[in-house]
Amino acid sequence: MTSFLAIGLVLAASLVIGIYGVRAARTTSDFLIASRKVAPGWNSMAIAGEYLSAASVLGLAGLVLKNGLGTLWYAVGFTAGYVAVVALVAGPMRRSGAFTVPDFAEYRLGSPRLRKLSGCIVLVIMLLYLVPQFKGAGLVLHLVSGAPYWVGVLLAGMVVSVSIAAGGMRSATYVQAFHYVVKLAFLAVPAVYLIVHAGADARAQALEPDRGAVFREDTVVEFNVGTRLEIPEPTTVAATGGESVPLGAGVHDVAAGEKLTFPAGASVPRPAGVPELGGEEWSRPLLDTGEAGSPLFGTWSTLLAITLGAMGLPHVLMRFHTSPTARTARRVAVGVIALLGVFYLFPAVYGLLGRVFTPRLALGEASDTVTVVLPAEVVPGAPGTVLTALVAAGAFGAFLSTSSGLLLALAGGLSHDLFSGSVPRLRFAVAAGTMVAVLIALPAFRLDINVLVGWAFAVAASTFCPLLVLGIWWRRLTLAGAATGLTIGAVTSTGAVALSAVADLEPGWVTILLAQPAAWTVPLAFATMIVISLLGNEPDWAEHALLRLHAP
Amino acid sequence: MKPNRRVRVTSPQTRIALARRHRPGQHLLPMPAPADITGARAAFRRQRRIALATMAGLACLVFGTSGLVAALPALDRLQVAGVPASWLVVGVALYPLLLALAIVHVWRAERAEQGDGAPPANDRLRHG
Amino acid sequence: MRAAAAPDRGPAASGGPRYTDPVVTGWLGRTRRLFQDGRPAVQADRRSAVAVLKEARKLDGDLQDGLHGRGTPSAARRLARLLGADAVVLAGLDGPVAEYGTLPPDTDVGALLAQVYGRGGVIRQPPLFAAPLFVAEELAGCLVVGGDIAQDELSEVAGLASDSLDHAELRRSRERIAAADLRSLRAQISPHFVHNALAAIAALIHAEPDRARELLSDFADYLRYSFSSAGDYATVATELQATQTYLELQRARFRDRFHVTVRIAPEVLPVAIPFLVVQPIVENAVRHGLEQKPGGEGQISVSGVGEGPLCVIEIEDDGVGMDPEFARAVLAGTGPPANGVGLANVDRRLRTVYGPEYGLVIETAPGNGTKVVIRTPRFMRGVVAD
Repeated sequence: MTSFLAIGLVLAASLVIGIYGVRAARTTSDFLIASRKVAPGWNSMAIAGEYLSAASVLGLAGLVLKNGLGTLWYAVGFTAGYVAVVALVAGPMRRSGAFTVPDFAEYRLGSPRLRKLSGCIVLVIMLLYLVPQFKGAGLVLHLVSGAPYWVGVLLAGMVVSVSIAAGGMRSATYVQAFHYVVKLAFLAVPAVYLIVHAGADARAQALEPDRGAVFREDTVVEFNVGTRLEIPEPTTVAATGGESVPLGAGVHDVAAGEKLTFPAGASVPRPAGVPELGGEEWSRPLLDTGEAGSPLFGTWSTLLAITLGAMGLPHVLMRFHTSPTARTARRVAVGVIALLGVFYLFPAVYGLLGRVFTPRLALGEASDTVTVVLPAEVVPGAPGTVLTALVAAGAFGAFLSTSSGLLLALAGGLSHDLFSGSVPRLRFAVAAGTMVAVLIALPAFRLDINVLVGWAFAVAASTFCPLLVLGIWWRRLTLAGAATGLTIGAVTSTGAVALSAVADLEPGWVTILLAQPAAWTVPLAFATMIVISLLGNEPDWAEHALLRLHAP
Repeated sequence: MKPNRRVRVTSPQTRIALARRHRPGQHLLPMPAPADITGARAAFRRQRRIALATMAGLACLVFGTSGLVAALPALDRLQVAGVPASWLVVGVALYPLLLALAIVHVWRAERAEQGDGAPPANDRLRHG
Repeated sequence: MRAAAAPDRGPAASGGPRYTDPVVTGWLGRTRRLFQDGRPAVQADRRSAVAVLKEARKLDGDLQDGLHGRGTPSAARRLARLLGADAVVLAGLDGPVAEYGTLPPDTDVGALLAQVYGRGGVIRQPPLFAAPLFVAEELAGCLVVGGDIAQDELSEVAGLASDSLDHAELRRSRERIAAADLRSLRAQISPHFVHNALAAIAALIHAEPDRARELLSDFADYLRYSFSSAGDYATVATELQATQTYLELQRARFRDRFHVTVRIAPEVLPVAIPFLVVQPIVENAVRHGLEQKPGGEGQISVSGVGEGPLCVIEIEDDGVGMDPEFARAVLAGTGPPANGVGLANVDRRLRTVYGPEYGLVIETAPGNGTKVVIRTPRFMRGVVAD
């Protein structure tokens, strides 16, 4: 109930800010104030607020709990992406006057067809990014209300489309800035409180590498999907019906729907496909995706995808349009780096404490819930309830700001770039986008939030990143080169992603190359654009368009 | 007195264009050349050099630290204030370094822009 | 289309069918015969006529940038094929521009050109023929042909080339006219405003000299904004500042009888829009909405929000409103010339820049105020505020 109240408050405050947060001036002399530019600080906060999605608020902590410290590289990549944005994109993008990536494509290469192609890619990226947001929101609502997951997802879809329709994003800058504060405060305050109240013992356990993980008390673990478990030492568990089942050390299969009660002090079993909780592999800060046995490659590939992908995320680039000058746009992006750096100190806290207090979450498919579940486990009673409410509200704020921003970008793209409808049917497009995202989010329960977001980044890195980098810094890019490169990048990266989502592949190099396609699709897209461009000639005005991007 | 209901009015061209489902291919306005093309080329090359340097720095920073963590497993066991050193590097230490890299880039890029004899930012804002 | 003259493909031998290409001398000759004889056209002849027309249109395309454009070599080749000539030279007034095929080795093109330009007529020195090209009745260049061709063939083809050059010239002037139109439309607004502003300041000079001085300096700022700018576009923020100056001046005139509310979402402040599109509408609201409202207080509200890829600016007043038919006539350009100049002007400029679907939308009724909605894309290629 408290959580619902907190979520409701965040929602109501966002709506009020969104509708009435435009600067109002009552006398003529206030015209000047109204027309003065928005301060860069607000803009930085708004960008950070939109950027910190459910992947950062819920997903990261869950990943740390499930896959280990190596997943912190995701956060590093999310931040490093903004260094690339500062260095390569922010200023020139602002100077082009382009509002969206398709706008930029049209500016630089002068082709309405390329604009449509880019519009299609925007759609793919936005959907890949939206689905995990809805999953996160559905999860939070499911946790705080006890209603089934699908009810939560549907509810989230309704909330976001109604709030956009009610004009809740008319003043997007202030809403998103408010959401940054909500996310930071509602994650940081409980984190600090939890650290203090966990006790010296638990703190030491949380920070000790290679010590494995044990259940602190008798723990019921509910398996909502069939799972293969590796039990490190013989344990006797209570099965669904209450009868005792001795489990020897080794591999056991647990059927879906089974409830096992592990006794206090028992070692936490290891589900197939993830490192042993708290074990050596878990404790090493490297990412071994797909169990290929090459953690450094996995880490680098992820870093590449995320750093370059951040540059190509359509809703990120849109926000630089709000800056009055290119110079401010760059400074705004630097501000974002600082704000992200502060925020990313906290998800790890939840992951590390989660290993000590809620190791059961690493077993089922529920690791994404650790941020919301943890506070009540550490601090029982009323304070725990309040903390849970705070975290849930923060997570919901993350969902709300990111998905509103994404939906508006998606709807804008749909109405403007693809259907060229004379009157943009924005509201309709928002509703349609929400519906599609909700429909995909329903069966996406099993997929980790961060994996999905990682795919969105991989597609962005293989398509818009080369388009923007070459478009901004290379005079000879031609229309043919850009179009071919975009197509090849989009087809290979979405193909790889779709294959690894659908197919059940054996661990190995093929799996890792499909799950982390950026390592080969990004160079492929760059090479295609360069080679095809070199074969043709760029038009006369290409250099003018390029030089304008860098004119001081 | 009951006020009259407002009526929506547009020009005939707009009315027809709005009623039509698909608009014709947009006309592209011409792209004007920059006033000082040699200066603009020089500014472009300067900015490109700075951007390349920053990207190289970024690559060194993130790939370097991850390589370091991979090469030196001892970092996991080395404790700094009770926290494994490798965790601190990934979880905390990288962020200020990334911020510093971005600040240096902005500083260099703005100095290069000022070098072109452009008016200072404040001045330009006032004149719109 | 870019095509360099390829001398090695030039017709070296004389007599006999030299091309397999359908458009050769024979085709032109046959087409002419067809028209002279007045006989019903056989199908092949009709096809050849179409082929010749097509060549003529392509020639127009080649010469679309004028005699010194990049298509001139291609035009020379096309003319040579049309005439079945050994060589064709297209020359401007300063000398040859493009050459196709090889002229006889001892030809002095310069002397030939001088003769043509001196006489202003056709020169025949077999195997060389030269005809002047005229653009807008004025000498613009010369067509030199080497080979065996008839006099009427030469003058017809020279006339065709002249027409193409004339088209190119007209096309360029059309663009110039559109640009000048935009500028003159912009300039049309200012006199109204300058007059009103000066009148308002003059009324205050004795009673409130300080305020008059302040207003005068506002006015100076405004003038700099509207006259000195090089480009055609400004940001929403600067446009609002100009509007503010205007309202400040009007308030002085009206003794603060009306209220103004502004709500602008910060996202749209840096959007580039054409110069002076908000101010004239506010001016219209004051002049035709509030000024004529009997006695009472008035209210104007200006709001700007981002709506997806669009920037929407609404100006609403609670003044006397308009007859919708009148508003329709103003926007259609058929209304009385003195009223609503601002509205029609802004509407036309918006449509010129962004296309017809971005014209003004006016919602009004007599006695019920007026709302004017400006919608512009947040980004349009080429629309950049300087």
